Parts: sequence; structure tokens; C-alpha cells
Amino acid sequence: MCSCGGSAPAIPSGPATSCPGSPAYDPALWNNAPVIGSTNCYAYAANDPSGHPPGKPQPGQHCGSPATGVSCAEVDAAAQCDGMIPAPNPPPPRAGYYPVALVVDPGVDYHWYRQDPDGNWSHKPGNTAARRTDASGNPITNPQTADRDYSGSGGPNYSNFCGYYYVPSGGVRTGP
Amino acid sequence: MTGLTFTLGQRWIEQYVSGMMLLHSLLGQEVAIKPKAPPTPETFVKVLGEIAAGTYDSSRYFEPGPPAQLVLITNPPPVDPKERYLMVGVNTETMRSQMMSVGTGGTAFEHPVWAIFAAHALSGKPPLAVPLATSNEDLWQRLDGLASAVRARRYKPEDFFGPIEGLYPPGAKLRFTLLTVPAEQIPPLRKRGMQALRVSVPPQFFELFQAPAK
Repeated sequence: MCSCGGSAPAIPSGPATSCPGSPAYDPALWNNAPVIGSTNCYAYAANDPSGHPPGKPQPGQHCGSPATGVSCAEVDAAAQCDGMIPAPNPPPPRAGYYPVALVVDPGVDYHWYRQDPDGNWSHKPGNTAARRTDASGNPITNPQTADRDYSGSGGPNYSNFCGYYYVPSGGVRTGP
Repeated sequence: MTGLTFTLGQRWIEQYVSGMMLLHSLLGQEVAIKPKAPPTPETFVKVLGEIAAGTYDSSRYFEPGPPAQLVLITNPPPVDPKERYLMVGVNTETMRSQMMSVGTGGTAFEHPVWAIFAAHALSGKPPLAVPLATSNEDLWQRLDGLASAVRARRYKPEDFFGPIEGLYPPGAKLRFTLLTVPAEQIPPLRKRGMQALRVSVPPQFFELFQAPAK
């Protein structure tokens, strides 16, 4: 059984072939200069590590229609403009694509997760390192139920789960 | 002139001058001062940039004046939901803003005295910028403590400001700017001390205050 999808059963250390369309979890690629300081969760979800200036690529920036606010609806529209494809909840496997998930702390920040080949999820907060754990330090088996509340350390609380999207296995271009 | 003003309305000018008197006191300069020309928001951010760069020369902006009473407003003023207001921003990057997905704007200041002393704190090593407070009410009330510390010659920037990791984007120069903020974004900014402000498209993440380290 393929374990891809948002509500798939947890597979802590499943085989690397569970979600063949997903990009490999590769912290060495994402967590070193210049990639770490020129990408964020959105570029990570889009599997678009290279060629960005220092900073954070924004949804809709590549297609010329960036989000004007931080809400599910605004980020959704901007991401779709870039090429993210809305997916059902949970997202069934789709050949040639992998699933990503969008969450929002309304008015403050948005965040993206992407599914790894083993069925678990990873993310890259802002210009910091990619990781496979949630706000509580637990593996992310389902972004909808993961701890997304960083307010205890003064950070955002991504309380709104906006939905899933498919990304072509080759990635989506982000940023200017 | 922008035609817009700060949430303090025209009282921002007396608060600006009071803040400069306090800064002069800290720097050992003449405290009895008056502006050479009516202050504008634009000259205010120019002065802030010069303070941060260590190039501030009081004689360009102030002249000796009668001793003035230093009065600080320590309660946040109400905002008219239909208006837009000026705030001061500076392009600082913190540990918190590095974690955010939206682009970093920096630190935002509603009260001129916080902006003035942040500019001074940015000129030091290590540079500091984000006011330390447990809430917006605490932020405003801590101005009294800041003024008392300056007067008592026990002011230390690290008692009032948190550290930064650098400037944004990396490699950029320190830059104070005027932000035009929709009124409806000010209450949530005050409530949480952070907000993605719609001062540009896409919006940018700004911090108003951060909690002191426990």
C-alpha cells in the first residue's frame, strides 16, 4: 500500500519507495550556504533550491501575482498561480506528483510541509534548516495533526490548516 | 511631506524632542534643546540613521533652547480604523524573523523614543534593536523605566532591547524607513508584538516587541 497522503498511517521509518514521486529528504542540499539563506518553506515545498537571491521566495512572486496578505485564501491563490495544484484531503497518490500542505497563522505567517519518500513530512522554516520534526520535536506523520504551535518560544502558531496541493516531481519554480 | 502622521498624532513631535533630550543626556550633550526647523517624519528617520551610524551631529537639527519639561506618553493611543498611520521600520533580522516564511521587514516602532534608543542600541556591539516587553502595555510603560535609567546613569541597552542576527536581506545596509500601516493591522501588531504588515506586496514580517529572556 502506498503510504503517501495527509492522513496516511504513520510510517516512522518506511521504505524509501513508499512515495516514489517525492523528492529525497536531503538536508545537506538545503542546510548549507547559499541555499539555506535564499530559500524558505515555499521553495522547499516546491523543491526549488537553486538560483535564488538571499531572502525568501514568496508564493505568486514567480508568476507575477504575489500574495497581498497572509490568509489561506490569499496564499492559496498565489501558490496556484505559480503552479501548485489543489489536492483532495487526504491527497491520494498521483503519478508524477508529490503532496505538500499549506498552513497559516492568520496575519502573521504561512508555512508549507512536503511529503518525503518514506511517507513522513519535512519542512524548512524560513532561512533556517530543513527538518523532519514538528514544534514538539516529534516526527511529522501528518501535517494536519502535527504540532504547529511555536508561540511558546515567541513564534507563530500555524493554527489554520489550509489544505493539500500536488507539486510535479520536477518541482515548481519560485521566487523572482 | 507624506500627509500622514503617527498614531500619536502631532504629539509625536514633542515625544521625538523628549527622546532626543534623553539621548543627549545619555551622550553627555546639551539637553536644553529645540529643533532648528519643524520636525518632519522624513527628518526623523534621517536622524535615526545617523544615530545608528554614529554620525549624528546635534547642531544640524537642534539649537540651544529653554529648559523643557520632559513628558513621555506611556499609554498607547487609540487608532481610527479608517486611517493609515506612519510607523518607523528598520531592516533587522532576528532569530524569530529568520524562522518566518514571509519576507523579513524588521523592527517596527510606534513611539519615537523606542526608535531613537533602538538606533542608539544598533550603533553598539553587539547591535540590539527589538524592544523587550511582555505586552504592548508593558512596552509603553517601560518608557518611564528607560528615562529613569538614563537620568540615573544606569542605562544599559541590553536591559531594554533584544539582539539581532543581522540585517535583511543579508548584505544590506542598515536602513530606517517610514512605514504606512493600515489601522486595522495595528491592534493585532500590538497584541502579539509581530505581524506581517501590508506595507508592500507581498507583506513583510515586522516585530514590535519581544519577550525578555526568562
